[in-house]
Amino acid sequence: MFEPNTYRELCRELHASPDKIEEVIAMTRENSSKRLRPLRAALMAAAVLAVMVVGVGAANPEGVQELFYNIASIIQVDQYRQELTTTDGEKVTVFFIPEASVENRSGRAILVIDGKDTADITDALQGQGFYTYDSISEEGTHLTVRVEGTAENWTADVTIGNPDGPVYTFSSDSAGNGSSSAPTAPIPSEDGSYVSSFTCDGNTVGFITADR
Amino acid sequence: MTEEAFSQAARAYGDTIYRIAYHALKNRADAEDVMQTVLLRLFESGKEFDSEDHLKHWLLRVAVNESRKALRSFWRRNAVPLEEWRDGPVLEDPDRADLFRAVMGLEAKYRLSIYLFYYEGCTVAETAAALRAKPSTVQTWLLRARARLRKELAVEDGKEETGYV
Repeated sequence: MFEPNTYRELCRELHASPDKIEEVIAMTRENSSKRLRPLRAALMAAAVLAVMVVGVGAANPEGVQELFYNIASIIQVDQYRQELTTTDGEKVTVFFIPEASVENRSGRAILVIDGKDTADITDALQGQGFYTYDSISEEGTHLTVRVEGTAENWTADVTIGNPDGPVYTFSSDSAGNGSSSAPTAPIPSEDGSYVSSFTCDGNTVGFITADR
Repeated sequence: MTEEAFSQAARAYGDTIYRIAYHALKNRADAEDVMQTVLLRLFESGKEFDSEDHLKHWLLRVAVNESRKALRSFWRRNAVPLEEWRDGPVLEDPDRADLFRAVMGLEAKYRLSIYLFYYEGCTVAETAAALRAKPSTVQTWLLRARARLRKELAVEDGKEETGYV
């Protein structure tokens, strides 16, 4: 028997940690990006950066860890890219991978990028077997999403980067599997720069290019 | 919204947002993430509200939306077993435990409808607005949710009775 009063008593016992509420209040009182405090989720630009700091610190060797304990400034270049400068003057570019998925709505395949309906790709999937979404921001960040398959059974490759620099691809599918093309450990290149992925809760959420 | 007004709102409605997110996501960590996100959105929106009710219903809508985004997210599909709920109230009373388990065992849209209608005291229209559904749809969800709860809790009662030989 569903007893509404008992249910209400149960709900009254559900409380957020007071610390978590005070943490948000404290964040809004801080007006400097140098003092960003880490949050666990990656749903807002400030929260995403903070998670990146925590994720990289936990997952990568000391050389990369050092960068993120000495961030001097952060510039949000566009929706998917931030430029960081450390106190030593090193420049670090951070790309955030948008989430791409396909939803079946009344038989129509809808491409959804970061929660926003982007395109009805039904005809493209039925005709050619694939659909490609392409965009370049004013600041030059190039995003490509290629979807293959059907509304029920699909794969999506999300590629992001600069036209003149390295690009990174993250693949996902309708079964919830995912993989990335960039290494999880930093690999130095000939010019001294290196690239690494960073994670949140074990899932790759972005890529970092740093110049030494 | 001033910092002081935001602080008051955060302390007044933080638990409300958390409860909605918990009903959607069924674990403390994710629910607290959504709570923080919604509060940050409130702060950054710069919105001025006509009344406490206006603020509360705005928060309900945004909490539902953010919870749905989290439910749909790629990481959650991989990382979280959907049938588990964690870090909820401590339930020593078996009837209360059965009730909470039964509610958490419903589909997300039913759980949220039940929560908004029975705990937040929202009307069907207000619940529909928060869930971005038609009032008639919410009526149906509530009917189905109650029917499933009746069935589930009757089964639980039946199991207890047949425990005696």
